[in-house]
Amino acid sequence: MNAIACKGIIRQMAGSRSAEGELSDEALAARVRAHSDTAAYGELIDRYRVRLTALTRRMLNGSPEEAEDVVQEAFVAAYHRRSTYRESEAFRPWLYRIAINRCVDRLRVKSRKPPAASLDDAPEEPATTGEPLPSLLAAEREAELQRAVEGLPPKYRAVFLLRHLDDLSYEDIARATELPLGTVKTHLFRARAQLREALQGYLEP
Amino acid sequence: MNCRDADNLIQESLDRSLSARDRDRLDAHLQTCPACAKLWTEYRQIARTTRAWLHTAGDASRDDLKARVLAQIAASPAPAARFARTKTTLAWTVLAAAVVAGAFVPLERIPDTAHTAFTLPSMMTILSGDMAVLRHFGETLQQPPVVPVSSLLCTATLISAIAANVFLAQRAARRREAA
Repeated sequence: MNAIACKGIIRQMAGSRSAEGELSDEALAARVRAHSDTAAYGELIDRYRVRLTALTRRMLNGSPEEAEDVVQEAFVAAYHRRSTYRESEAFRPWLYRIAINRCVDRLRVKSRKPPAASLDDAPEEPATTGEPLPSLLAAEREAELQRAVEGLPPKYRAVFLLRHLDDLSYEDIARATELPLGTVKTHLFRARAQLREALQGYLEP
Repeated sequence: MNCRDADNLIQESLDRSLSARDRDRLDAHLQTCPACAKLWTEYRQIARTTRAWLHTAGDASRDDLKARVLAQIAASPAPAARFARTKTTLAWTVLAAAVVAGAFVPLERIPDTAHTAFTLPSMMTILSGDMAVLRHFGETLQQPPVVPVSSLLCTATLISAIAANVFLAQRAARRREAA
């Protein structure tokens, strides 16, 4: 998948910019806060479910079902905490903060339990039959990336994923992770350096 | 510019947070430093790979997620509503306890004993207009009141215990709401 296709997909996923006739995320969130408007909340769920699923799946590195559970919990929790949303703040970091906290709680519980072997937990291995070589290499790189991201501390992981999932600014990442701005940059740069080390041999010259 | 500075600028360039001046400086350095140019290429590959990898993860989102979330919201009362009901219950409890505590606060002055006090029954008699009692009440008002210390201590202890319970219950409800 080339860079232009990725950017187009991300732009489609980023529904927070209001098109003609569409309310912005902040306007919808304000309706939910003021009137408990579930129709407006349903619209927000539609806009963010793909991104939240991607975020939780890669944060937890677990099964799709586990990621769906956490996403559902995060959306329900966000609705119940709608009174804490301030209309002056951006909606995205507020929602991501709730989702990230759910993921960190889940990771904490998992770290206390002995790991249960499951086929679902295994990294996605690339298909090796009938694929052209560049696709195979890209698939292998993604599989190795998954293993490398799993080795990052949760806060590094969260900062890295938020940056690349939704093009969040450093400031928005700071709000979503409740970290100082300088710490966000440090975590992000160190995460990338760590991933670069782990992916040596999989990167094209 | 040294390679350490270039490393930071390369990272910032991935996040599109470079000024035009820094971008020019970085470009000039990359043209003369093969190691940093390689670093720049590798970081960009990692960024592209990450975006594609995240995109495939988002495909796992099921179409019925919205219906499930809204159904769960409709089925469970909000923590805010539960907290409001807890507050109301506690408020009535405190009021009832205050009335009970007030019944034990002595009000009738007893001139012939070591301590004087007022009681509710005597107040009711006063309110019913009994002149003899009113005269007696007027006389006793001129004397300095002495309220039993034991009554004060009991009342203070009871009210403190109720206040502590209210505070702890509110804190627990806030924690549940935040969870």
